[in-house]
Order: sequence, then C-alpha cells, then structure tokens
Amino acid sequence: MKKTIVVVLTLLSLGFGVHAAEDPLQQGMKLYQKHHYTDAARVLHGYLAQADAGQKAQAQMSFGMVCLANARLYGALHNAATAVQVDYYRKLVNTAKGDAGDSRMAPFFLGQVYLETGKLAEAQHWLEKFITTHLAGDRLYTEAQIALGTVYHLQQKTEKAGQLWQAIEDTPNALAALAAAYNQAGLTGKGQALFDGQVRPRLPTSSRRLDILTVRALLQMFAQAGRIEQGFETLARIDLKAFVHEETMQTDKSVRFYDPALLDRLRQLYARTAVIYFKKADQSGNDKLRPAARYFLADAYLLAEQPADARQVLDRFLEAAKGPRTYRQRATVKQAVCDARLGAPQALRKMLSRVNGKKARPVLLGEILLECGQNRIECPQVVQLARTLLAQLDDRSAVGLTVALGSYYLHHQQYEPALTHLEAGRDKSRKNRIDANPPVMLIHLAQAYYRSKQFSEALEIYFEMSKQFPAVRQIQVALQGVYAMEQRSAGDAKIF
Amino acid sequence: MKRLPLISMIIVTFALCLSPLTAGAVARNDGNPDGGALNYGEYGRPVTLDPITSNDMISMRISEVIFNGLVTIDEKQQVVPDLAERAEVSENGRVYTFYLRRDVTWHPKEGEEPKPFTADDVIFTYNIMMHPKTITALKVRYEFIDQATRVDDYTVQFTLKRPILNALAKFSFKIIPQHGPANPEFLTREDPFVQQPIGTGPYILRNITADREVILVANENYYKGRPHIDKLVARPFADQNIMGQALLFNAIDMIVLVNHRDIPQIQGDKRFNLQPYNALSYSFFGFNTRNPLLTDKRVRQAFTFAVNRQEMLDSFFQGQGTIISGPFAPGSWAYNLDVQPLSYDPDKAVQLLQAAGFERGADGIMARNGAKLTLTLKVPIAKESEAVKRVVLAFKNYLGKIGVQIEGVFLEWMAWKEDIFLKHDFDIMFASWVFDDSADISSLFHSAEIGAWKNNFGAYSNPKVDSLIVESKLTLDHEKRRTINRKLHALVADESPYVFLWTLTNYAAYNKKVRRVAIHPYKFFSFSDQWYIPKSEQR
Repeated sequence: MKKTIVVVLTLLSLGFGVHAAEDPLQQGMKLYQKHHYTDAARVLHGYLAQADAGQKAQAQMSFGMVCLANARLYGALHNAATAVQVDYYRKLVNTAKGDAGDSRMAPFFLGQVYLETGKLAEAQHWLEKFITTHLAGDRLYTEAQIALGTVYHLQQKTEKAGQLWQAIEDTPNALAALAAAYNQAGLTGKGQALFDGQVRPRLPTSSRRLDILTVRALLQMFAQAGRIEQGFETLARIDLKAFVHEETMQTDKSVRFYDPALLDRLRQLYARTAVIYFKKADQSGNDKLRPAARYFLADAYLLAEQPADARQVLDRFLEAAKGPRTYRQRATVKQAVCDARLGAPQALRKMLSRVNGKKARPVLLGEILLECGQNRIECPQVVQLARTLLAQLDDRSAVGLTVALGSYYLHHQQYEPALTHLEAGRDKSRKNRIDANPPVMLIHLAQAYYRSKQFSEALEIYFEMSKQFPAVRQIQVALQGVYAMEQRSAGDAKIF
Repeated sequence: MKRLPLISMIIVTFALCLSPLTAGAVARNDGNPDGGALNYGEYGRPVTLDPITSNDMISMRISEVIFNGLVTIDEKQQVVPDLAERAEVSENGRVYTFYLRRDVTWHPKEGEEPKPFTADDVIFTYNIMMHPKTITALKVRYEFIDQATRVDDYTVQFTLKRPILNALAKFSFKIIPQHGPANPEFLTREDPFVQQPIGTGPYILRNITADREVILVANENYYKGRPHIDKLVARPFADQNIMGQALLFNAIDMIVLVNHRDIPQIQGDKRFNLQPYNALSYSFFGFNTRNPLLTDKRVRQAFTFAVNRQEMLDSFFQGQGTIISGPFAPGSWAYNLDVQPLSYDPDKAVQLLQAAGFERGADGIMARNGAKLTLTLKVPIAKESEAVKRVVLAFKNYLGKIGVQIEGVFLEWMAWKEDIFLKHDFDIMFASWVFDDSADISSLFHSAEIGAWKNNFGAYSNPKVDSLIVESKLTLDHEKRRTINRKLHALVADESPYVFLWTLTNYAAYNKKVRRVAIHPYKFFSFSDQWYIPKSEQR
C-alpha cells in the first residue's frame, strides 16, 4: 500500500510539480497518506470545483485515488460486518425463549444479512418467518416484503417476487427500496424507471436527515446511474453510525440493529466515483499521468464489479508499454483475475503454475496472494514461495508480502496463520492507529482476532478506527453482542 | 450426602479424555522436547503467591502456574474440565456436581510424599475463601453459592442461591490444599502459605532468592503431563528501561509487559516476537469519597475537565493507547459507545467547582467554608516509571491551574496497598485495573465492597449504581445484561468516582527460541505447560 502511494505521488509530482504547503490538493493527499480517507475525500471533493485548468487532472486523479481507497475500505467493512452480524443475529434467534424478552426483529435482520451474503435459502427462511409473525403495516414489514421479493427473484421464482413487489405501498421510502431491489435483482432498467419516475420527484429536497434504509437505496440508485454528486449529497444527510432500529423488549433490554448493506452501497458509490475520475484523468491529455490513471481505473472497475471493463483498460495499460515494471507485472495478474471472474480461469491457472522461485518477487507474489485471496482461489505453490521468501527478507521489506499472505489465509478461513502474518505486518509502536497501519489490513487483522475468539483485540482495533470511519459502529455493536454471549470468564479485576 | 437422581441432574456433562496417568514422571506425547529455563521480567514484585489473598497481576501470573481450578477456559473460550473430570448441572440450574480426577497430587513438601487431591480440598478452599476474616477480593464473585457439600472423596456439589449466567466458568477459582495454610479457618497475608504455596499445577515453587527472584520448577507429576520447560524464573525489575535492555542482551527471555518506548526496537529485532494482550485494562485517578471535599460529583467531574488526557497520552506514552469515557475498557463488550470522553475544558472545570461552592482564595487555591482543595495523591513506587512520574506531575500542574493543590506521595508497593486498601489514607490514588472478559465491575463500585482490602477503596456509594450492578448479576439474559451495563457505563462516567484516563497498548515480548507460545489475554501463563525450547537453544 505504501509503495502504491509513493508511486502515485511520484507520478503526480512528475505531472504537475510541487504546490504550496496549504494547497488543498496536498492537504488531501497528506490525509490520504495518513489513511484518513473520509477527510481526504471531503477536502478533495471540495477542491475539484475550484481547481484551475493546470491542476484539474491532478485533482481528479487524487480524488480517484481517495475514492478507490474508500471503496476498498467499505468493501472490507462490509465483509466484516456481514460475518459478525450473521453470528450475532443467529445467537439472538437461537437463544429466544418464547417469551416477551425475545427479539421479534432479529429474524428480519438475519434474513437481510443472509441476502447480502448471497445465502438465499437462509434469507428466505428468516424473511418468511418474520413476515408471518410480524404485523403488516410498518416500515420493516415493507422492507421484508421487498427483500423477500428479491430473494424469490434471484431464486427464479419471478411470479412470487412480482406478487410481493406489487403489494408495496406507494410511499417514496418504500418505492426507493423497491427500485433498489429491482436493481439488485438485475432489473436495472425497471429500477431506474421507477426511481426516476416515482421516487426522485418526491424526495425531500431540504437537508433533512434521511433514514438509513432510504439512504442505502438512494446510494445504490445514484451510484448505478453515475449520479455521483447526488450520492455525496445523500451521504451528507445521514449519521453513518446510526442504527436502523432499536427494539425494546423489557425495561432493561434493548437491541440495536444495523444495516450492513449500507457499507456495500458506500463501496459502490466510491468505486463508481473512482471510475469516473480516473477516466477524466486518463482523458486529460497528460501523458505522464495516463499510465497511473489507467492502472487504477482497472482497480476501480474491479471494485465496481465490472471485470470486462477492467480487462479492457488493463489491455490498454499494457499496450502502452509505460509505467513501472512492477505495475506492469501486477496488471498481468489482474488481467488473469478479470478473466477468471468472467468465467475463464485458465489464464490465472497458467500464471500460477508458471510462478517459480527464480522469478518470485515480493510485490508480484503479494499481488497474486491478494487477488487469489479475494477471489477465493487456491494457490498453494505461491503460498509456499511466499513463505520461503519471507524467511529470507528483512522485516521491513517483508511487510507487504506478510500482510498479503495473512489476508490470503483469512479469505481461506485459515485463521491461525492469518493472525500470525497480519500481526507480523502491523506497526506495533502505533498498534491500532490508522495513520500507521492501512485500514484494510487492520480490518483483516480484527477479523482474524474475531475468528480466533480474541474479541477484545478486535474491538480495540474497531474502536480506534471508528474515530475516522463512524460506519464501523455497526461492527462494534454486533461484535460486542457476540462477545457478551461467548465470553466465559469468572469475573476478575486486579490492580496492575 | 445423597446424590441427586441422574435423570434430573444431567444437562451439561463433560467427559475428559486424557490418557491414563501412571505413577511418577509423566511425559507429554506431543513430540516436543523437555528442558531449558525461561527467565521472564516483571516490573515489580509479587506481594503474595497464593490465589486467594493476591490481587495484583504479578502474583496472579505466578499462581496461575502453581494452581488449578475445577474447570478452566481454553483458547477458544470454552469451559473445559481441569481438576474435575466432568460436571453435571441440575435442570433448574442450581446444583453443580463435580466429579474430581483421582490422579492429581499436591506438590510435595520437602521430604514428604505427595498428598492426593480430594474433595476435602475443594470444600476447604471454598470455606476459607468465604470466611469473613480472609483477606480477599474474591468473596463478591462467589456470593451466588449457597452451599458447598462433600459428596464423597472425589465428588463435590455446589448449590447456588439462584441460577446465574456463566456459572460453570466461575468454578475456575484455584483450589488450595487443606494441609497448606497454617490457619485452617481463614487466610491472611501473615500466613506462611501465601509465600510458600503448594498447588497442583504444572510448576512447583522451589524458592524465592535474596534478589526476590521467584524460582519455579517443572512438576514431574503434573496430571496433564510434565511441562516442557524445566524452570520458570520471575525476575523483578525496578526500572523498565533496564528490563528492556535485559531482554535485548539475552539476560531474560520474556517481558510480560513491554515498556512503550521499547516497542519499535523490539519489533525491529528478529530475535523477538511481540504479542498483544491485556486489552481490558485502563489507568485512572481514584477519589476517596470519604473526604467531604470529594463527595460532590461536580468536583470530581471538574478534575476530569481540568486534565488534558490526550496531551498526556501523546507526550508520555507516545500516543500508544486511547482515551476512555467510563468504567469499562474499549475492548470490552460492555463499553457504551454512545458515551464520549469528557473534553479538556479548564474553564468548565472552574465553573463546576464554583457551582459546588468553591471560591479561589488569595493564595489561588479553591476553598469552601475554609476548607482548601489541597489533596494528597498516592502513587505506588512500582508504578514510578518515568512516564508515570510525568503523568503525576502533569496532573498536579493541570489541577494547579484551576486552583487545586496536589501533593504527590510515592510509596513502596506494599505500603501503598496498605494506605489505599486497608487504612484508606489518601485523597486521590493512581493505578490501573485489568479485567478478565466478564466486564464485572461490581467489586469496584458496589457499596457492599467498601471495607478493608476490598476493591471499592474510595468508598464510592450510589444506590442506582448498586441496583444496576445487582440487576446485571441476577439476569440470565445476555442482552439484558448488556443493556444494563451500557446504563452502568453512562451513570458511572457521569458520577466520576475516578478520573478515567486511558487504555494503553500492552505487548508481551519473548525470544523466538520459546516455541508454541500461546498467551492467555488475562492470566498470561495458562497455556505455558505446552511451551517448549528446542534442545539446541536450551541453556
């Protein structure tokens, strides 16, 4: 990650020279280097409109970088949130005693999380359970109907889906959710038409706060349509740490429920924004900036789940024969990943079989491990090479590869080696500080601690991270819930 | 004693599958070598070495390897059998029956044959722990037990006053031998047993040297198999810098709590591993509410507003920690995320003091009805690290600015404990708490815990807090307990019995020659019987 930053900053300075110390561009990039992506996005977004012609492309490139980082961050947060919320909500439904102390809302939220993770049978079970036991008429009931419709549609039960969706009430909130559901089900044209025709004209235009579920739907629709500015305006109208619903069962019992889908919609918004701004930088006419713009544009496409577009851009990047060698190698890996995601894994398999000890470079191996990890592709020979190489490298140059290997293990559910390697890559002198450790690495480390049932270590990481990224709150609250139920300590406190 | 019918008893039963143990030395079958010594550095010295009277971490780390409980908690947060090979819980959740191992012996006294561990030892431990004259902070944890009964030589039964959450885990308290303490009725710090403990655990206390090093040797007859490492040596250091250097120069193999300044250097040295632990801890200034000047919560809140905690954390601990808002650590499931730490606001502090009736006198010191806000701050000498000295000095300076005069007094560890916990002779004290995962703060803030050697040393009392603590303990619903603890957090934060400071980054460091190291996040050495040192690296 640090190497990426250095290269980008070098490219940027080559293209445009150095600016004054208080330049918003530099300020934004400094925040980016400190991993304060939210602040960086705010500074650079504000600067885009003011930047003069000479700085425009640089500002676009910088903003694209920040949005790409945000997209990666929210993608990782979404994975972490769904994992812990499934566990938490399952515990809530499994410990129900059939009395007034039980949560009535947990089935709905469990169904929603399962839908988010693509587990349609489980989602169907819990959403149906909620609908049959919950009185019709409130907001969550409507949301459950819409979500269950999506589940049915994705299960090819289009008639049942249609019946549910047809019954949705005619309110802006409900129709926004329905439009987003059409979108999620692949009915993008229908979703957009509903949104443009019946939702947008009825949206409140003031700066009034919006509820989380509506914002989630709006972000999805704006991102899909490339209406980035409206997406950011919507974002400004919510508190990202807000819960969707607080259920009070008894005087002294309440449970807060959150929406992990919001994190994914933030990923979508930022990824689409990155695509737009990298494209602008690519088309700015600046030759020195173009290779970097194209390289990262491919990354943004991949994060926006557009592998075919990513493949095309990577081809153009490699054809141009510019850019550092390391990046060209990494682009080759990404090409193979695009192909694999497009249903042609042969190139990736071939590449993996060709990687050998002589050619093994930490950056290349790291890239392969990251991509194979994210795409759940087994590459044992690369893992072995990485382990051999790590034994030879000094600690400093091993950090990137160690972290990549840790992330690979995490994605392959091998939590013990994941913990070992991610912890080895952490800057311990500033243990949980995001300015010293890449946030995505910290999220992976927290996940490894969570899976190893070292809950307090995971919570410590999220606590520090929440200061910059308030959306982390939903992970904290669910994790606290799991921890409270799983801990088995006697109740000791000592002076030390 | 009549055994309850099996049909009504069995809800939870463990079966422990260990290979049968033979008499004499027992070897582990994991293929790892025995031998070698592990010297570890501690910043300070243990006060007592038994598990009942000790209430500091240094002591607990040692007693962890000397003693066992009926059950223990493994690395996956599961309650697993220890001295009891299995347990049964009655359907109503009130009767716990433990069937004890028959192959466990007590560490032998010199020249004596090892004595067998039996049900009598369990009953003895419970009785002595709960005796009113026993000096321990444990009683509050076991008030839920109504009765302990010896069924036969190897069966004990505990009847609970009421079912509680995680009851089984609470039977992890350490068992001491009936033939151990000189006084069979109650245990005090004067009893020779607290310095010469006898346990059943993987290590036997051999001796304490003139330099106060605690030497522990492998228990050849340990029922789980002899621990791999021959000898554990706890070496006390009065200076953290010297302790860090001792590790770097291979004079010791492990530091249980690394000085923050040393973390970058140790991380950069390939010989060592750094492992985080102890996330559930925090530092604080505690008030003695027996002092009438400190009974008004506005006065206590003023102290928090007066000190710039973030500046202290950044300046004295290189920012390695996080500011907290209340009585739970941020890594705890009970931390209320809605409660924000009070900001640094000396003007607000002055307003609060004025609202409480204080006015600045001609000498600049705040006073009310002639009583000046001149207070004694007591700090243990074991905490007299450079950073802590600076914290104390800064605290004094910050409070001086709002007209509060602080006199800092550094005391030797035992003298400090006597002043704080026994005589209650202080106005403000500085210390840190560390908690296990249970987030149980009842011993710190419940009014029933005011008294000699109890943890509510500041005599803090609030019926609402008491009520929430009791509710939290009584409920069998995890989510309800969580909700109550969130309220408790908000209430105690507002009441400010402490100036809640920060949770620091805690790392243990060890030489990589020590293998298979798993560190318990609270008790530290719980899994040390499985650690080993390769033959080639033993010395």
